Amino acid sequence: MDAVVQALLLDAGYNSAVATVGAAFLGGAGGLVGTFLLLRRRVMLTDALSHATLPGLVAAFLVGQAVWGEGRLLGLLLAGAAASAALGGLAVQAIVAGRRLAEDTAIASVLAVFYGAGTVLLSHVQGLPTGGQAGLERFLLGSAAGMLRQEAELVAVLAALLVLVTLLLLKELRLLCFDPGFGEAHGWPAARLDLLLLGLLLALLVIGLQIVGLVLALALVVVPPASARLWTDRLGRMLPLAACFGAAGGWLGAALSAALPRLPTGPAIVLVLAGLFVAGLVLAPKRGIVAVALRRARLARALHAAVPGSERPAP
Amino acid sequence: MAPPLQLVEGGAGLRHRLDPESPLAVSGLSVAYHDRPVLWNVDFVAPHSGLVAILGPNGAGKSTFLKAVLGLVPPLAGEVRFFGRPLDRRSGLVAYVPQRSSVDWEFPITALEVVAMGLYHRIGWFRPVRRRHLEAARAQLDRVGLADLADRQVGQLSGGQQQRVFLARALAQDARLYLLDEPLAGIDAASERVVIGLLRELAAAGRTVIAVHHDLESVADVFDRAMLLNVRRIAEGPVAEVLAAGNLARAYGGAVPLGGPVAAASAG
Repeated sequence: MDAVVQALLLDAGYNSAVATVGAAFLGGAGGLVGTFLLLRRRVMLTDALSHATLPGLVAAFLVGQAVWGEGRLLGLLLAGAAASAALGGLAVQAIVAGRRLAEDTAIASVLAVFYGAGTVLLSHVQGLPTGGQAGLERFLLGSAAGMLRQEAELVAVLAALLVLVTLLLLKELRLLCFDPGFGEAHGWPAARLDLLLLGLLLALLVIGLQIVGLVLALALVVVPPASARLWTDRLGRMLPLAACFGAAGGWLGAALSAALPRLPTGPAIVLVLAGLFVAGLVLAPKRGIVAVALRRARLARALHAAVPGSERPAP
Repeated sequence: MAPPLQLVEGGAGLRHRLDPESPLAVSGLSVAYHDRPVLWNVDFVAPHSGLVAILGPNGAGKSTFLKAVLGLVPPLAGEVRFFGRPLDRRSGLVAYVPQRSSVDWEFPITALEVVAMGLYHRIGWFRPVRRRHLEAARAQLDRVGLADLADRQVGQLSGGQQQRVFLARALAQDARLYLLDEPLAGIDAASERVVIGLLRELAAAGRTVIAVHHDLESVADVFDRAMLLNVRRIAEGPVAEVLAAGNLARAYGGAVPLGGPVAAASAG
């Protein structure tokens, strides 16, 4: 327990502190970008894109090894991941456009195919003599522990950029998510704004890959805004709330993962986020389980008082 | 500067040339969804002020007509001019009110914030919505009688109130031409009075209002002119002429929903 407290207070060593701060930034940015994806009803796209990073990631490793004799070049790995995720995103668009297939069909197909291809490549790499040290598995479930200071700084800078772009385009993204037809008719191009949202998501995935892992990256985007939605009916409050939930999840999750042996960072963050969500589900005003039950009980009492004999349910 | 207008079949092609500055002049507009035609060679010229109804049975292409002139669905062919020019969406000359059912009313947004969207084109890219914009939006919300509900989440409003919020958003745009998709569908009587009153006010102020309308019985009470569509343009002109029995039979086939007021209108 002391170890957890120490990690939370950034007092468990330099590396752990760096990773914890990096994860908090990532969580905050995920909450903001995720809020718009949630309201645009495109969160599942995150799952397709994050799984679609795998073949690019492994291919980049192979390229690095073939060309420079060293596969573990973070920049190259992330560029490969981004490229194959972008390809996955384009594949989703191409499958949906004009072919009368629903987007969830396209998303599921892209996810399965890309992840399958990535897994084949990964098992090939693991069969190589040097494969055992490749360390690519950490991109599956995330591992903030080995994060270098420069990497954490990169995450923080990119996360801050994501926040900035999101805030600059607050009104445009709100319009896109609420009424794209009205927006389009008055000169706010829905297709380009959607592309921009996709770009923000891609950037988020690339910086988040090492920390949360591609398997659970979805949670970073969907759970904080879903939690925030429980607490408020205003987008202006939902955004900061989602960012706070995300940052708290990142902070707590990374600290837990640093303090407890053999707990990968991604699942730790997801569990913390889920805990916050469940707390909201129970306690949130208006939408929480407690609030709804209280309201119904009050209503029933008012009815009993007004209509004698209404306590008995109708047969 | 103005490209040459093609002369197409029917009278609108001619009027097109006679009235090059019409708020909305459409010639030969054709649209298909996949391989099914929804609009076929439609001509239309809007008056410089007044209320025009777009009528026709379900699937006749009424909503598609509005979306196609705005470029929201790609046309197969045809020419569209607003005030003699191709559409400049950010000019603020044209306001569009989509169907109420086209958006998710559970969205975390207040009535006031929706109305403020009518000012976005004036605010411009990247700039925030400021207090003075919200005050301007509040004034429009007051015009539709909903100032008290400004801070309500839109899902808590009735259907009619939601429609009035949409209308307030269009009013905030202060446009010259208003294109409304079913503004009177499924709304309560009080909201209907408010909406019709404001549409008349716009027409009296020299604006043109074109609205998709579903209810043949009330057309004559609200609109000056109408276009009757069923994929092709069946008729266009003053409401009474358009609602002549022959036109309705052509648009609706055997099942003409002829009520008393329609018969009266077509007789008058």
